[in-house]
Amino acid sequence: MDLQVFKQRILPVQGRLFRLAQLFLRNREEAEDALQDVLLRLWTNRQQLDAYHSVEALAVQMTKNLCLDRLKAHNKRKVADDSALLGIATEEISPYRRVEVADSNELLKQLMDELPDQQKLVLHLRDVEEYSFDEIEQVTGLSVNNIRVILSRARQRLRDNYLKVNDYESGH
Amino acid sequence: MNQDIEQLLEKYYEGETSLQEEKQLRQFFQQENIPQHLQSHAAQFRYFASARTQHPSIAFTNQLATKLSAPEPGRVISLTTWSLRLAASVALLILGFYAGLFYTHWRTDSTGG
Repeated sequence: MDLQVFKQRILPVQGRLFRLAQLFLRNREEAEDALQDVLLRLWTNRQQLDAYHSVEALAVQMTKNLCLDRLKAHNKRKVADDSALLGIATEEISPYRRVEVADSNELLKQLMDELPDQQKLVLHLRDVEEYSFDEIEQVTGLSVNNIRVILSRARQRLRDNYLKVNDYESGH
Repeated sequence: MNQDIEQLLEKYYEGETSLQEEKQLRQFFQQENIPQHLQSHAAQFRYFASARTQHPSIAFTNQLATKLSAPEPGRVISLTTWSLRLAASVALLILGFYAGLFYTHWRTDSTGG
C-alpha cells in the first residue's frame, strides 16, 4: 500500500476516528493526539493492511482500544478532576441556568460519557455514524442480537437520565 | 405523521428501527415545530446531529500529511550507507590485527633484550 492508496482508503475515515476518540477522551487535543497515533501506526503497518476485510473496522477498533487504554492510565487523575469540577458546578449553577445547560448538547455529551463503554460505543456508532448492524458487528465482535439489546438499553438509559436532569414529569 | 413518529420512537427505543427509519426520525426532529409531547425526545437527536459535524482541525490534517510524506528513519539506510558501514568495520578489523601484531612484536623485543 503506497501513500496514495493509504490516503484514499484511510484518510476519509479520519473524521470518524476523531469523533470516536473525542467521545471517549472528551477533549479535542487528546482526541487528535490519539487519532494521529492510530493513523501513524496504520501507516507503519501498511504492508499488512490488505489482509484485513475492513481497514475501517480495524481502525475504529484500534482507536477505541487506544482511548480506553489512555483513560485507564489517567483514571485516577481524571476522577479527581471530575469530582472537583462537579462539586463546584452543582453549587454555583442556579436552577434557571441549570435548565438552560440541561437543554444544551453539553449535558448530553456528559450523559453519553456516563454510559458504560460498550453502550456508549454501540450507540455512537449507530446514531452518530449511522453504522449498519453488520458494520457494528465487525468492530465489536458482538452478535446482531446482542447489539440490538445493548443499543436499546443505551437509548433508553440516555433518555431516562436526560429526563431525570430535566425534571420532566414521569410519562408524557 | 405524528402517530408514525410515535410508533417509530417506540421501535427506536427497542433497538428495532432500520437505518432508513432512523433517518426519518432524524429529519423529523430537525424541524422547528415539534409537538409538545414529543419535545423531550428532540434533544438527543440534536446532540447526535451536532456530534456528526465534528472534525479534526485543518492544522492537524496538514501536520499529519507532512508526517506521512516524510521518509521513515528506519528506511533511509540506503545501499551506500550499508557499504560504508561494511568498509569501516573491515578497516577497523585490519587496524586491530596490525595493532595486535605490533604489540606482541614490541613485547617480545623488550622482554627478550
